[in-house]
Amino acid sequence: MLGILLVLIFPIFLISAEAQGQAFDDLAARAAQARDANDLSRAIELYQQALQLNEHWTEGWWYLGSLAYDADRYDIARDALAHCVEQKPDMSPALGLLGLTEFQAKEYDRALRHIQQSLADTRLEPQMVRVLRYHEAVLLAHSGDYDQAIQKYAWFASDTEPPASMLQGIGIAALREPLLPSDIPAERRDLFESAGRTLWTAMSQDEAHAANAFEQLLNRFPASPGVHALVGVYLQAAPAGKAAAEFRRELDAEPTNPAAAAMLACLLLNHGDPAAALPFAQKAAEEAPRLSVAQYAFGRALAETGDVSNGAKHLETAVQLDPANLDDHIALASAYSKAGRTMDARAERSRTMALSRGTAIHAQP
Amino acid sequence: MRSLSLAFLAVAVFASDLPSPAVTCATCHEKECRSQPQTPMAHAMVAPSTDPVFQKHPSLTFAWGPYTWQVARQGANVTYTVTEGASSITVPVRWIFGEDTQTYVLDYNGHSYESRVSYFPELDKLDITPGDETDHLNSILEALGREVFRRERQACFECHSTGAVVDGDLQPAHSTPGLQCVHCHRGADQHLRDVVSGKLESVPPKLGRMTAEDISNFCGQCHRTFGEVVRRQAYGLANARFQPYRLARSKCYDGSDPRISCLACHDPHQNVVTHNDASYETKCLACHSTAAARGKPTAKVCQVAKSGCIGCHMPKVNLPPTHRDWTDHFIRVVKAGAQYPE
Repeated sequence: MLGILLVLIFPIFLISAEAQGQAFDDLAARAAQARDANDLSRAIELYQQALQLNEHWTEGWWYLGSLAYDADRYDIARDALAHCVEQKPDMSPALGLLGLTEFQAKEYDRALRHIQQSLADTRLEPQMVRVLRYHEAVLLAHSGDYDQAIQKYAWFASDTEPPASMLQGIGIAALREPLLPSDIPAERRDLFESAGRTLWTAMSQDEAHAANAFEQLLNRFPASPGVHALVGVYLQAAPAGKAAAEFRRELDAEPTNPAAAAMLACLLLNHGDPAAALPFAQKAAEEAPRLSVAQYAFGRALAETGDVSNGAKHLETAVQLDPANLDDHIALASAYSKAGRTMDARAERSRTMALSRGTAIHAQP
Repeated sequence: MRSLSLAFLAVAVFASDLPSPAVTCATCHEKECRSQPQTPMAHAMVAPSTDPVFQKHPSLTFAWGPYTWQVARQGANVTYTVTEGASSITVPVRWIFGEDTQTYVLDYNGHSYESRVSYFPELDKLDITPGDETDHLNSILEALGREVFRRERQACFECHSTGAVVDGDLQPAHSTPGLQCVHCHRGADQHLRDVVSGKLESVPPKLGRMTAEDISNFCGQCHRTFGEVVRRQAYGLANARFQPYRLARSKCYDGSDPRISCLACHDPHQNVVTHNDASYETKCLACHSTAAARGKPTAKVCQVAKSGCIGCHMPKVNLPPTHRDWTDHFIRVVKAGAQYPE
């Protein structure tokens, strides 16, 4: 269905290539007829034949790619859309569909990159934006970038009732496991869906129901990894001791959980106790040096207990690991400022503001 | 999640169940305790029964579109009424936020609202609450106020009162209007207890010894830090009210240099000086002078004038919804016709 939808919006992005030769014209016309008749197999075959005669026919690659995507023939779709993007790099619907095709082909890094490039185009059709945003969130969680994933899922917070697959996706990010919704074992699906529904309730600003939902989650899954940490995150806005207790329970159950240690450190930092935060932050950063929240917590804890120089180094690492995270940039600018590195602080503030306004340029991985 | 957690950065305020009044903060800190109660921060919240506005105006009214508002005093109580045709809602005013411009936080049917109208001393009357001027009101309930949820409500009380938050729980009935010593001086209550029992070592952290950056972040918990403005994308003219954010944007801002900290110009225990810009010029000249270095690096010396720093480099910004001018703390060379650097 998505492919058919995209076919309709194609003229916005492309100027039709001129067909060459009678045979090509004939094949192109027959391909279009088959496409209009929703005869996917025949249309794919005819587009392939036409493209053998004219490989510069960008429109043909697009139709072949989108039809093959609809027919679940992802190898053909990926190849066709890659040609399309090669010939017209700013064709954002093709970039997005290429990303979705790569997702199906389990090429997750490429998929995420192409989906994010596509989403940078504000002219995309809303339904496609929804599909791409969902896959972006799924892929971010799968890559371990749970906080970014949750921010992406928050875009759907105004939905009345998300489908089970999305709730499971939110649950994956909430419980911080690098899974895809389709990878969740059947016996754990209830846990992830419940965690997702709970976080979604909180994201929807439904505070009264959120409190109950977190309590129920805790009652139903008291021993499941990640649940106490999730409740702890939620409780950060509630009485301080309650949130810390949940993080400590998570650490009691799983002492080498760097995410829980880092979040406990963040909680203590936010409550103005950097000295108490320092050991948890250090432990998290040592156990998971590639975990940006751990580097962030350790950097802040160091800077706020007087070791500004080393604090700035860890915050620089956090920024490198998660360049789109505002909090990392804000803390780094503050550390530079405290260290008297005024030029660095100004530059970092400028980057932070650009990021906040959505005008920042990130190097693509 | 970091932004989620940071958004609710809490000012630690504790219950003021302090010991006998024989020993008070003023016993040792007389100067500060004498002047601080006169400051606007000490009156960041006002009790309806003592609000001078309602001593002067037993009733204030305002009309906008189909709605009419009346805030009226009856004895020690103040009520807030909004009327649309034959319908009206009346609620008691229990909390008045602000000493100058006053906004009311209202409770109605289990929900909290920021009043849709506020009192402006510049007008000496009610007008639309800043931020609401472009809202379209579709019902009498919307005209009553803008609904505020738990976290925002808690933030209101945290910045405008003392002791409203107990172990993270908002308890307005437990609060004291305005900012008292323990609001900023964490541990002051324990310190006072210890002093009574002869122990003097539990001195609260000396806030004045913090770096300029830490002071900016401390004051910014209520006056808005760079980080909070950026997170909320609070860009535009209205952020002229957020001094720590504006100061951080200044080229001369150095978080390690006490000559540019909030406390270099403002003593929080004293009334802010608003009508004597010249009094601040010595602060500028602490850096921008060939004679004032004393071991500290000097900054560029103004080639245009030897006085009038504030008027040129910290221009006043008029925010129509607030009916007043604000001093822009983004210290800079202001070019004629340049847009407001938001």
